[in-house]
This record gives sequence, C-alpha cells and structure tokens, in this order.
Amino acid sequence: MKRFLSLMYAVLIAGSIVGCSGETVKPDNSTTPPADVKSAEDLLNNEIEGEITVSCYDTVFYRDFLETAAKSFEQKYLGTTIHVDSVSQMPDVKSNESEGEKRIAIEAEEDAQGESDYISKINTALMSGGGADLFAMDILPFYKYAENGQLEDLQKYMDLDTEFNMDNYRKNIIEALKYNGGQYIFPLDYSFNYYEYDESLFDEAGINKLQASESFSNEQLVEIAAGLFDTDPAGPHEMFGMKGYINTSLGTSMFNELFLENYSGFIDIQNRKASFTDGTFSQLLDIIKDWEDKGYLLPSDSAEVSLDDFTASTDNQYYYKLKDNIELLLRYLRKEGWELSLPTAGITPSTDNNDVIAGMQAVANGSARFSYSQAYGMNANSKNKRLAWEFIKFMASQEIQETLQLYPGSLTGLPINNEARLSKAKDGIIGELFIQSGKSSANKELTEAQQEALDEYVKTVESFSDMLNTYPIMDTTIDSVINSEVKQFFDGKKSSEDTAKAIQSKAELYLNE
Amino acid sequence: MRKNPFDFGLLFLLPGLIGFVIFFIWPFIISLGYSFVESLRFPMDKPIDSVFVGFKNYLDLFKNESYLMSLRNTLIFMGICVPLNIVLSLLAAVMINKVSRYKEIFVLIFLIPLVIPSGSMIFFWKALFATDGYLNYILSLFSISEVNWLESEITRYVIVFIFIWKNLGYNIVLFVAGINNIPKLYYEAATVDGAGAVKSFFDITLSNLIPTFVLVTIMSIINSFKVFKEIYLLTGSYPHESIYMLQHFMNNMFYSLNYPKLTTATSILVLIITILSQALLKYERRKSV
Repeated sequence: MKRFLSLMYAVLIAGSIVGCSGETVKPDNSTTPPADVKSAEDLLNNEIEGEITVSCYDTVFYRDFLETAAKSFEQKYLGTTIHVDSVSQMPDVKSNESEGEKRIAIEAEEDAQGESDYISKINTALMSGGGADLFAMDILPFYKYAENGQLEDLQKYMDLDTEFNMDNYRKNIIEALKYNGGQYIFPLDYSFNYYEYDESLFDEAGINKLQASESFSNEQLVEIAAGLFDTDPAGPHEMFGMKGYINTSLGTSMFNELFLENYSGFIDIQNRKASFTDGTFSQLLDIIKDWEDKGYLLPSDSAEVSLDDFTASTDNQYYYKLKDNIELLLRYLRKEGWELSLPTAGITPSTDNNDVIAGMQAVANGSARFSYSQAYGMNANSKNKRLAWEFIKFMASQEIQETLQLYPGSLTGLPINNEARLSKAKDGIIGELFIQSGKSSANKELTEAQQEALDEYVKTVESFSDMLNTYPIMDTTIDSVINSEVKQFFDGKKSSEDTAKAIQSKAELYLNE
Repeated sequence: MRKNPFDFGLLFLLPGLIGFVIFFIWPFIISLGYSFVESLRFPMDKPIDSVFVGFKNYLDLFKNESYLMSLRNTLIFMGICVPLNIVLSLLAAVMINKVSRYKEIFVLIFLIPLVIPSGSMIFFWKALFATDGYLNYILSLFSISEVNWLESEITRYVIVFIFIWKNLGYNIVLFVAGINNIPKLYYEAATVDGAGAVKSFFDITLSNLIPTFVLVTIMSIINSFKVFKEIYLLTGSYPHESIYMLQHFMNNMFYSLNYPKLTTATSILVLIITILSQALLKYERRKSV
C-alpha cells in the first residue's frame, strides 16, 4: 500500500512538473482563422432546425415576450421548437376604476431565496453539462459566467453572419455591454433616465442654469435649486419626488441614484476592487440624510404606496423629477389630451403641467448610464448554437421588435433595432402603444402636428441615446450586501463610517474569493 | 488443513462498502482530479477545454486572501471550540457520574439540542442576538449600550456558544460511557493506597479515558466544520469576517462556478482532517500499548 501511495505521489509530482513547465498554448500568428471562429463559420452554415430551451427567472418582463417570439419563430422556421422555462411567481396586478379612469398597479415582490435557488439550479445544470441553450440575463451575474467560459462570445457570430448588420442596431448600447472584450450578452432594448424640472418653481436665473447643460448630476441640481427652496414662496415642495432610501432594489430612491451615479468609483468588478472606505461612500450616505433633514426628499419609510395614495398625490409639485425615457413620449400625448402616467416604484406621482426637460442624468466622469430590461446570453455548451443564435437575431429583428411590446405593463424599453425603434416611436405618437387605455388610433397616417411631434421626439431620444455609454455591471450578491447594510444606516442603527466599513469588508471578501 | 479460510463476515460489509465507494470515494477521486486541471469550460467533458496544471490551483489558493481568511477563521474556531467543548463535556460527564439518581435524565437534557433541527433554532438565535433582540433589551435595562452580536468581532464567540450548546450533549454521552468503562477496582485500590480524589481523577480517570478523548476530539473537529449550517442560516453567505469559514468559501465557489477552487479547497480540507485524525489515532495507539 505504501509503495502504491509513493508511486501515486511520484506520478502527481511528475505530472505537476509537466503541468508547470509544459507546453503553453501560443497564439497562432498564421493567417488561418482561430478554431472557434472556424467552428462558428461552419456552424452558421448549418440548417436551422431542432429545439432549444430559453431559461429566465423573471415572469413579468420576459416570459410573455419569449412565448410570443417563440411562436412566431416556430411559424417562420418550421421544424424548430423553442421551449421557455421561467420560475418566478407572477406578480399581483391590482386595479381600480373610477370616473372612467382606470389605474393598474403591478406589484412584484423581491424573493431573495427564489433568486438564489434559481441561480443554484442553473449552476448545477451547467456543471453537469446541461442547462438551457439561452439564458435571459435578468438575475444571473453574466460576468461570472463569461469569466468561467459558460457563455459564448457572440461577437464571432455577429462578425461572420452576413445577415447580421450591426448598423441596424444601437451600436453604442451593444458595445457598452462588452465584458473583457467579449460580447457575452445581447440586449433587446435599453432605457435611460433624465431629469425634468417644474418651471413654475424656478426663477429666470435658475432656468438659465438648467438650460445651459445637457446633463446634470443630482448634486448639481440641488445646488441650482437650494436658494429657491429656502425661500419657497408657494410653500414647502420637496426637491425630488423620491425617498432617500427604499428597502428594495426594484424601485428608485436617492440612494440608488447617487450610488449608481458614482458606481464605478465604488466597485470595479473587472479588476475585483471595492472602494467604500475612502470617505466618498460615507459622505454619500450623509448627504442623503442631510437632504432628508432639509426636506429635499420624501422621508425614508417602508410604508407602501397604495393606489389611493397614488391618486391623492397627483397634484404634488417637485423641483425635479427623475423620468424614464417613455416620459419623452408621454409629454407629447398629454398635450393631446391623453391622461397617462407610468410612475416608477419609489417615485411619487405629481403634476406634469409645468415640466420642462433639464437634461440627462449624468454619471461620474461624464458618462451616461442606461439599463436594459431584456438581454440574452448563449450557453457555451449548447448543443444547438445555430438555432440559439438565430433566435437571438430573430428577437432583435425589426419584425419581432416592432410588433411586440417589449414587456407588458411597462413600455419604457426602447428597441435595440433602429427601424423598430422608429416604428414604435410612430406607434407611440399616434397612441397605438397604449391600446389598453382604450384610446388607440387605427389611422396610421400622421397629421402634421403628429409628424412634428414625432420628429421632435425621435431627435430628443436619439440625442440622449448617443450619450449613453455606461452599463454598471451589477452583482446580486454585492447589491444584497449593500442593501442590508445601508438599511441599517437609514434605520439609525449604524453610522455612515461603520456602514462603509462593513460593506468594504464583505465586498472585498466576495470579490477576492 | 485449510489455510486462510474465507471470512463470510466480509460479505456483510460489502453493501456498505459499495455505497461508501460510490457516494464518497469515487466523487472525491473525481474532485481530486479536477483540482489539478484548469478548465476553460465546465463541465470538463471535453478534454480539449481543460489543461493539466499540476499544483498550480493549490499554489493559487494559498495566495487567495479570502481562502486564507476562511482557513485562519476555521482553525481559530477549532482551536477555541474543540478544547472548550472537551473540557466542559468532561466536567459535565464527571458531575453526572457523581449523581446517583436520574443520571439518564441529565444526559437526555444535554442531548436535546442535538436533535432540534438547526433551522428551527435559528429563529430563536436571531431573536436573541438581533440588534433589537432580547439580549440587547436586557442590556438596555441595565443602561448598557447595545451590542452588535452578529456583525462584530464578538460574533465569533456567539458562534462558539451556539456550537457548545449544540454539541455538548454528544461528547457528554461519550465521556459518560468512557468513565463507566473504567473498572471501579482501580479507584478502590487508589483509595487504599491513600490517593485523593484529584489524584485519582488525573491518574485513573484521565489516563483511562485516552481512547475516548481521541474519539471525542475527532468528532469535535468534524462537528466544528458542521457549524457552517448555523452561521449560514444566521448571517448568510457573507457574514462578518471573523466567522467566514472554509465552508463559506467552498459554498460561494460553487455559486461562482469556480470548480478548480472548490475542489482544491475540498482536497486540502480532506487532507487536513486525515492528517489530524491519523495523528490522533497514532497517539491513541501509542498510549494504549
């Protein structure tokens, strides 16, 4: 037995020496294309057939879209089957109707355990050689999958597929989602935030300052309005119609906004660095507390906003409002007599009568941030990559993007496909996007006023879109650490310094693992 | 005359042995193999994607700050818990042994924590140690400022307390059995020779309990690794840095799909436990001769 062990040990040592000094794979400098590019080339010549599975956690934004897209795809490519696998609970949909007005609220609760179970299920499947062919990147940390080689780099397909033309899509958005030089996920849509201000609350000097720039940070906005706020003749109006902190990542709060504004300074996922203890983060927390104390923000409490609260608060006035890109469209429709409101969780509704566009929500170092509601990555172990790529392409095509609402209940995502974005803009101006409200227009011909509004809308959206270049790579683990620590700060249980220290320690631990 | 007759008793061992090999030895051998390769893709069903790297994963692991922290914490935790558990359970066993009536009831009381599922106790621990929990409420009655029991340096001792609470009874049973196995004759002879209670305890009880000590130590070491369940349920995957254990690292590596680190850490853990138990068994054999 001892001899056997010694032999094994010797074999291991020998193997180790070979392993350490053995041949390393050197880049091939010859003109022959790399093996993976060659295989992608061969793959694209394959027939589109067979079946694939698309896995998503989210049922609100993804499943309906996927099922409809799958059906259309199967009709177009006979002999193919797209399975959609989703796990999360359907959200609660509440509605009330009075005086001909219908209000709908969708309540999606965070389910940390459910998310963790889903990730665990995906990981186990991947480790055992299985897993879906396509993954919706709703809660999965795509950078980890990319680093571990679980996701296919789609760049080679994008380059080699003659039917795919990058000029048909929002290039800056797709490229901003590259990680370590690879295109591991492909977005179907994007959205961004911008600020509007209530003209009736500003003097001329304030308005001039707000018209002088294309983008603003939250601190710049506060600086402009601080003097007016102190001498507010019309009574106390909060500076922003949002709370300092809300205990969920689903909504918007000033903490979320300021944190994301400075995100790259706090977390550098690519280089595994966390910087929460240099004073900037604790200062950020103190600023929010200070703004709360001064009455700039709504108080941070956990009280839920009911539909009745929503109705009651529609006459509120705020100096600034953080708006989603869909509001650029609603601005025009309201002028036409539409009564539409698509509030974001955490932002209290208010009157829109005096709102004027201020500019893009700026991120530190002059960048502008966007988010997506849907993006997909391909399993590197997929047995039918040809079909998987074709389905991604199909979901991003004009055909599917202009006929489908990107997700029901919300219309904020702008299609990644340029033609589809333009077509949806037209649908928006004539009201077809809002069919549920009962004011659809069957007439697709635009009036002169509508054409003018469309031109203005498209110009604004595209000029804002041109500025977008940053997608903060979020990680659910770090988010959950930050959320639980920051909650203790806003509950008054921890100082800003202690909160920053606790986050630093845990984030560092996580990133260094 | 037949030489080396076949021992049919071995056949009865076979089913257990087969299960042990299939569910423990074989997966471990596969996992050991994984720790010597670096893969560009998992699972490593395609040899082209994995490269044999010898001990590189092991060397990398010992440069990994999180791993070193988890190893250090695990060793500190073991260093505190194992001796403390042994001393306390030995004292309790000796005291129970002195009791003439209802001995079994005392043993049973100490065994209760062992059979209560960890999950159900977590609610109690959370309520007890939360910043707005019972303990801090009691402290506030004496005007003592609140303590962050689960998120500060003190957390390690909270976990030590939970570990002792849970595992004390198990060791008590082993020690009570060990003490009962010592022939009463030894004590009677010692008394005749004029030895006092303390001398008898050290020279008879302790020296005759060496096999039990070895068993208790091995079991305590193994059980100290199992404390992860409680820590995880109480504080999640990323607890305070003083209670971030090896199992946290391994569990998190699974979630990160980092199979080389996971299997390398597992192999090192198995190696440490094997060396420790072998050393203890060798010590026991030497002392028993």
